[in-house]
Amino acid sequence: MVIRVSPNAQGLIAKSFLKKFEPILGKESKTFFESLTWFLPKTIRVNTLKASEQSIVRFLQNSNSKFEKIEFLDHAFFVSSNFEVISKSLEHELGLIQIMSASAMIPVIALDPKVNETVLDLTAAPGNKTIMLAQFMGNQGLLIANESDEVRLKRMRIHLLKNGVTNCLLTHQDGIQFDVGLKFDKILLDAPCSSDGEINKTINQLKDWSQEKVIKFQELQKQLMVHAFDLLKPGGELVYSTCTFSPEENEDIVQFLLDSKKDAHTVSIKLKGLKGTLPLEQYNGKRYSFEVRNCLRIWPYKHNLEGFFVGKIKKSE
Amino acid sequence: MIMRELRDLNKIKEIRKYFLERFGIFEHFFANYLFLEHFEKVFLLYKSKDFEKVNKSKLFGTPFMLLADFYKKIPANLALTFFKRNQIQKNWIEVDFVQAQEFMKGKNLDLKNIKKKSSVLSNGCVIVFFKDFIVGSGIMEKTEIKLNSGKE
Ligand SMILES: C[S@@+](CC[C@H](N)C(=O)[O-])C[C@H]1O[C@@H](n2cnc3c(N)ncnc32)[C@H](O)[C@@H]1O
Repeated sequence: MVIRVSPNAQGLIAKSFLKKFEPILGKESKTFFESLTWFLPKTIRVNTLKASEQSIVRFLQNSNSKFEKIEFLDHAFFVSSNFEVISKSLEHELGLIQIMSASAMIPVIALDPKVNETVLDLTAAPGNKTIMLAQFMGNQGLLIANESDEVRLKRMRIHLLKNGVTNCLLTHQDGIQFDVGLKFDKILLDAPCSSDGEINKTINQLKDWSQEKVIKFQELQKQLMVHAFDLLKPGGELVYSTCTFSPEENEDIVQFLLDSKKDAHTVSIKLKGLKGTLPLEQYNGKRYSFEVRNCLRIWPYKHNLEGFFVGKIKKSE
Repeated sequence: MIMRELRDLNKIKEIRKYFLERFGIFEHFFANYLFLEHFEKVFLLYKSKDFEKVNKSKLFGTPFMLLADFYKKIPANLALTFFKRNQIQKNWIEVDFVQAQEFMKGKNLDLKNIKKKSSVLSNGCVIVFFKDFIVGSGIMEKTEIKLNSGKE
């Protein structure tokens, strides 16, 4: 896939961001900063609740788009031309395809929910991953999608309906106190975060990036993480993900859980064909425990994908 | 009023009968689903072992609204798009791409411009196909089909 590089990336980014990531990435930091202005390939996913992969391939061919199957993801394609036609198509309007970044699909692959499990999406709007969870569950079992922002929740309801999700209940609660009287087999915590990894959308935000915002999110993420873990059944699994590069919101949060809960253990995440995804080993003079190495980081400059962090945690039986 | 399971067997029968008689959707399609009600709206949810344990007072709802109005039998427009073409036997029309787009934007369809339709077609709710999938439903009055008002 072809990408365009802006030569003056560093001029677009807050100085404090550059200062923070330079020591973390060393020699690679220059390429990293440049990559923040790349145009990454667009990606789509077949909504298997409503359409077959075959029918969507036919649709892509008919729309004269250049597309390519994503090696490490089932039912997903990179689209490198005529994307407008696809995003405005009836197929998209009717929920036969989802437009979402390839990185954003990884947390669901990592969680791998199954038919007839009881699954929670704790911070769910706009609901793209909820739809994917329902796909993995074959629209069976029980999926609960929670969101604290009422406007986003109402919009998500329509989005899920349009995409044919029939195994889902919606709740409107603060995730740090979430309770419906159930414990869960699997939980997705796709946490609210400072979102600097979504670089296609947020290059302007990188101008106003601030460490204070990172720390504010970190406080919330710690509380959400511990509560999500408490909501698991024994033997249950939790996936924590963010679309930010900051270690305070990523490795630190996984480490915090491991330190707080003796029955929490990380699990490695298997993705065919995606290499170089190891998380940071240390940050700010602190070495993370060996278990944190099971987490996964996606970097635009290494993977040509949006920045993402994914950690998988299991509660002992 | 909180959303709760619809336990009135007569109402359940009435819903199944409506979908069978109007569209030919067999009653067994609904066998794996619970019907939930909230005011006059009816929702569908896949049956699961844990639903009983959920504290219903904590629910906001469920995405899958089937009927926007139980008494007037107005199906929710987007919900119908979930059905498969081979599940619908009656009261359907098929439109081309341009007609589908215009219809979704709210423009009425004229029956005489419709090339394919089911042999049984009567006034009331009709399902609108584009190729193999449902784009929504309309309300047919004589020769005109208006976009269904069953807003989600
Ligand atoms: C990263 S987004 C989730 C994206 C979603 N998983 C998807 O793929 O479409 C995080 C969401 O968490 C919500 N949120 C923020 N604080 C929350 C809280 N305390 N409890 C529940 N949800 C919260 C935000 O409103 C936002 O919609």
